[in-house]
Amino acid sequence: MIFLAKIISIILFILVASKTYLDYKKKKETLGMFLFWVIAWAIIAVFALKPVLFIELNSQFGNQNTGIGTYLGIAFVFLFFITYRVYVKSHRLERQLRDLVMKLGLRDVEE
Amino acid sequence: MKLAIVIPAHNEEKVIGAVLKSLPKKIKGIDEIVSIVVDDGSEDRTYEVAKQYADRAIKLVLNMGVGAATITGLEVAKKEKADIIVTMDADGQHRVKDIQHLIKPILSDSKDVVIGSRMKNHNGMPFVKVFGNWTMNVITFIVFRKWTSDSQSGMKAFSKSALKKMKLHSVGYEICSEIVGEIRRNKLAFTEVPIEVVYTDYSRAKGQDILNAVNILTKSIAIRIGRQK
Repeated sequence: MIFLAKIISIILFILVASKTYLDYKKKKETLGMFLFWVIAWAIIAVFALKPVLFIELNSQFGNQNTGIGTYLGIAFVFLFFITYRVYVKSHRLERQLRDLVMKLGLRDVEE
Repeated sequence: MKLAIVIPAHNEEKVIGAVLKSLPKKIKGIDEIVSIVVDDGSEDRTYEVAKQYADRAIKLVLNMGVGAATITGLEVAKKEKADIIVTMDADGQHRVKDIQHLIKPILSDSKDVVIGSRMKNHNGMPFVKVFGNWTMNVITFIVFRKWTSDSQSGMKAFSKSALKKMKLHSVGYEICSEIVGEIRRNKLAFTEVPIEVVYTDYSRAKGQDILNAVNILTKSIAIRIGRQK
């Protein structure tokens, strides 16, 4: 199971890196955003491949009493909140854009 | 009795002219036929060709998706005061002679909505398409609780009153499932008639991606939840 999670993490990292690279090449993304996503996903992939690093880092900051489950719980809540925000925003934008494009199209008919 | 034929199109310059030229000029029981093409932000000359052959050609400035283009076409049909509205694909896969079979149940006042079903006789349909269509039928049934043999068919007919009752909000391919949901929500009298599909390399390449099912599922759920408010 852990092996599968590691494989999925690597695949996702490659997917994100190649997609942002292509977007950067097509000038759809800035160099800064491209580097941000590659570095962010590289960190995620490193922790997924070597989870023990996370425990070592945690104890180095003197948080031996805080279990990995607590961090996972916080991360889960945080990610779910971001997903919710992105969904609401993209859904609203899509609706507004659709209404605008349709109004423009129909305006031409009325004219 | 006025019939409007709504054709959403995206990058169809190669075939849209032929499709429009092949539309029937006369149908029994119909006094006037109006063709309406909605160019969904094409990058090619679809709009220019459509303007040449269609009665109404509308250009959407951005490629929003087949849902937005279809709804725009239906709005134009309402403005045209059409009594019966037919939707069909622009890629030439639908046979225009099926239009008269499609509108028959509406002309006889027995039905509000008719879906042209490719699945009633799916001989010649590639297996992957048969599987994909059945998957979408099941998804549509689970979300909207209405069974149809071809929920994703682009060939449909609506009566004027049915169109007035339907509230459509889709942007992309989820439009087909949303229409099925609206048939159920408004308790519209509905039937399916078998239609034949012309599969060419061109229309095969234009078809929906099977992975689109996930997108349709999530958007359909969002529509269904939104409706319950």
